[in-house]
Amino acid sequence: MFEHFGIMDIFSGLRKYRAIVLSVVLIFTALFGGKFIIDSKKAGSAIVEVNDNNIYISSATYYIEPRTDLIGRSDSSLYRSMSDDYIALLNSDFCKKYILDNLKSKYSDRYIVDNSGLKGNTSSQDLNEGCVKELYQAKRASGSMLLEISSMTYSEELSRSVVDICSEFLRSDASNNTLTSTAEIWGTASRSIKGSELANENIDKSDKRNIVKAPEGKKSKLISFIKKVILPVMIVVILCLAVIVCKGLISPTMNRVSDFSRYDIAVIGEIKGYKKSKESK
Amino acid sequence: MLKRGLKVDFEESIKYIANSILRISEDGNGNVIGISSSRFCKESKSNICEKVCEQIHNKGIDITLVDIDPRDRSNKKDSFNRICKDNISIRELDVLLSEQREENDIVIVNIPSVVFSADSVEYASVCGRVILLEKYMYTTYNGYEEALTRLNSYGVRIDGVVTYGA
Repeated sequence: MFEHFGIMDIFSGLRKYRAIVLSVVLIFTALFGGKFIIDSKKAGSAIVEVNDNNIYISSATYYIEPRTDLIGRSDSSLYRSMSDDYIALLNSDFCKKYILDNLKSKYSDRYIVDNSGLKGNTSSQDLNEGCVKELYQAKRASGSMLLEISSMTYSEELSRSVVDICSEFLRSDASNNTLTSTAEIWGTASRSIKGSELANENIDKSDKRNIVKAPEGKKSKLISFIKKVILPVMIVVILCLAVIVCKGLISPTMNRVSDFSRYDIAVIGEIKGYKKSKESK
Repeated sequence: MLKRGLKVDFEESIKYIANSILRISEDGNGNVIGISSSRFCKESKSNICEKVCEQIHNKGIDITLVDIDPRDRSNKKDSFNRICKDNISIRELDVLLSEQREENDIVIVNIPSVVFSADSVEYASVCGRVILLEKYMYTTYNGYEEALTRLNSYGVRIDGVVTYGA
């Protein structure tokens, strides 16, 4: 099967069937491209509806104060880890339970689900500690001892409540003081933005909350185009090549003088430009 | 310019093939040469046979084309002598070729595909020698080997193969 077929035969096959391959590729490019354009327009119109909503961002900034006896006596890596202790505490399941219990005591489950970044099909029965990660984010400002807790929801009151509850959690006797430092409140802030302005916010790549997924910017449109148009067209091209290879393997043809030279029959000559010359008459 | 280049390539190739066939016909093994193929390619085979015969005729050589595999043609007049004999019997072909080989310097016989037509190998055996005309990306290994097997089993001398279609 393979003794009569090689890489050059693939090129010969492509040359012979170039019109068919090109037609197939163009047809599928038009199909996938058309579908992409239609889907983009639909998605764009859907996002316009969400963009009407205001997103409320509340934040609280803490300064992590090292323990007095450690100042000047420890290496810099210990200072950097101090904020990480608080972030770990804030991201712990215990903290999430604390936040959820406090929120549920003030608001209905439906209210929390509807005004947060939880997906629309999340029912109030599904609201659990795992969902709380959608309501807030704790991060350390790079190269500093500052810790920021922020909440982003569709309700100003909900955003403030989440940040306040996180602050209460830090102030409680159980967590305010770690072995190496204390968290001192530095300030709070609240603001609102339109959903369409999210793309302009400086959002961490590590922030996986649903609410921060901005409307398709240019970069994500390009990725979407590559996934929905370029990749499928490349698959079509590969399939065409696979068909040519299969045809060549099943019924190999003789494609050059050297193929005929294998037999004991002399090749008298090769007529060049036959097809094209015939067509030009 | 590209078209002209291709046309020149084609014309020069035909001249070369015509010269080669002339040389083969003068080797003392007979001046009747059959041209056949392993696969069905009536149009292109007829076209190439006509071009080669024209070229040989232009050299002032007496040539006749016995066309056993004629294609549909317009009322085109040939500059050389052509005898169309579709579905001729072996005996009639033998008689015809006996006459023509005496009257001409070279006789070309356009024979249908050796593998596709059962009588072709008989026609080839009457000619005594044959040249195969094979197309790239069309002639299969199986078909070519089958053609060689059939011709060899009838003791037909295969003088060579001409390729085209690149």
